[in-house]
Amino acid sequence: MTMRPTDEMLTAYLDGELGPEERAALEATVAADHGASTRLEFLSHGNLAYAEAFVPMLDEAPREKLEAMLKALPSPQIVPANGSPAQSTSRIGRRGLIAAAIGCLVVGVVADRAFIALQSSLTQDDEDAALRAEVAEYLALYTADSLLHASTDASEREAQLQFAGQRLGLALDPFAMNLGDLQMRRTQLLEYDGKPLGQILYLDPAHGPVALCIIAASSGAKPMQRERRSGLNLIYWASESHSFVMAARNPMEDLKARADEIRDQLTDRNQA
Amino acid sequence: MQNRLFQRHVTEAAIASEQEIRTGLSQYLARLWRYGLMLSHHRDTADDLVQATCLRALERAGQFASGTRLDHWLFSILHSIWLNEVRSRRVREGQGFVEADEALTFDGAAKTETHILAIQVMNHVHALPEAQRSAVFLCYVEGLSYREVSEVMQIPIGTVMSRLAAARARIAEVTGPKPVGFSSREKVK
Repeated sequence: MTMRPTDEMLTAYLDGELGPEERAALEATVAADHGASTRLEFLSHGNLAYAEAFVPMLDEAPREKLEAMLKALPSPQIVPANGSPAQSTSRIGRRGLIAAAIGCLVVGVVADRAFIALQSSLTQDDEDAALRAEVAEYLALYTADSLLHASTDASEREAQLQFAGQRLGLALDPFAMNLGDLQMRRTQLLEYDGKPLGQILYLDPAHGPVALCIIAASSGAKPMQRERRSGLNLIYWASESHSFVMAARNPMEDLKARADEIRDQLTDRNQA
Repeated sequence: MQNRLFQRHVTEAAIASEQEIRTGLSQYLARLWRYGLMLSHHRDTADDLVQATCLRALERAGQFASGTRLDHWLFSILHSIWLNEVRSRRVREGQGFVEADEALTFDGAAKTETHILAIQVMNHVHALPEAQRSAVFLCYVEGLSYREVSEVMQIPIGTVMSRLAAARARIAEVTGPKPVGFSSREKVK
């Protein structure tokens, strides 16, 4: 084994999460590789008395208040085991509407439809924001080093893009996704909420990693918007069929210009 | 039509498990609150999160698989409410987040050396980005396995691993001697 173990492997080792064989292999590598043993030693400084440290916080909990709150909760209408799973719904909106539906059974069908419509409009924005939060947090973990050894081989890049494009239902090619002085480093498929999430990673020599995330979405085209999350700048927009989020440490204006470029290219290529 | 289906499906079993959930909830309130505080850094938000978790857990009592860990199931409910409902709303409303020290005023109680150490550890964890913080909390404070953390947070195990590794490196950088050789942070300002 010539590969230096990753921080993930070393951490899993320190946490006792490796199986016997993996453990033995890693121990052999660490014994033979000074760099790996130094890194292991370094990461072991992250072993702190976490569980003990957080005990006082349990005492801070307002137990009596929470107990009283729990006692005051009425027996709710129970969602069946085979019912719709963990849909995030607004508590107030939903309870209000259930009450409304019970109050006027005659117009039950209408109320149900309103309930469903409201439910989806209430949650869509939250879900979009949750996705952007995930994207930003995930990218915040990346440094230029994370992409340093990612391949810049043109054929590999094209194959990765094509594969992601197929899964996302969007024509992606290296020319469309070209961002001038930004080097495309990796295209990977992740999953968000059970749907494929494409992530194209670029390396900006000046500002570090730039990520473009694409996910199929049917909530309609939306204009570009900007925001800051996890110390990153984000530009996001949607076409009729997909949502896009671009995140980076680049200045907002620079990022916006690049997002414009990508959006125009993709629109050209994906017209019916 | 969903509402009428709800009623039709209320079975004896579900009613029995509602009592089971209530008992469990009462036992785990403080741990749920602590997780809520970890995520939100706000005592009031932690209160709200626990309340919403109780409500949701009682509604879904029928979905809880007897014989599995109730506390983990409750953590996963709280986590999803935070992620899907509370956090995004707070961010949109522009309330932002307070610094850890602002929300956690345990410093007054720091009388012994043990206390001071505990506060240092808590501060290291609170300084982590949220995604890393919840993984560290669930794994190292609550003692969940990687698989259990991935189930609670609804993320792949590989993501749990990378979050914990990144958190470890970050904490080691602050607590340990300076690393020799390949630090991931050397080149990026």
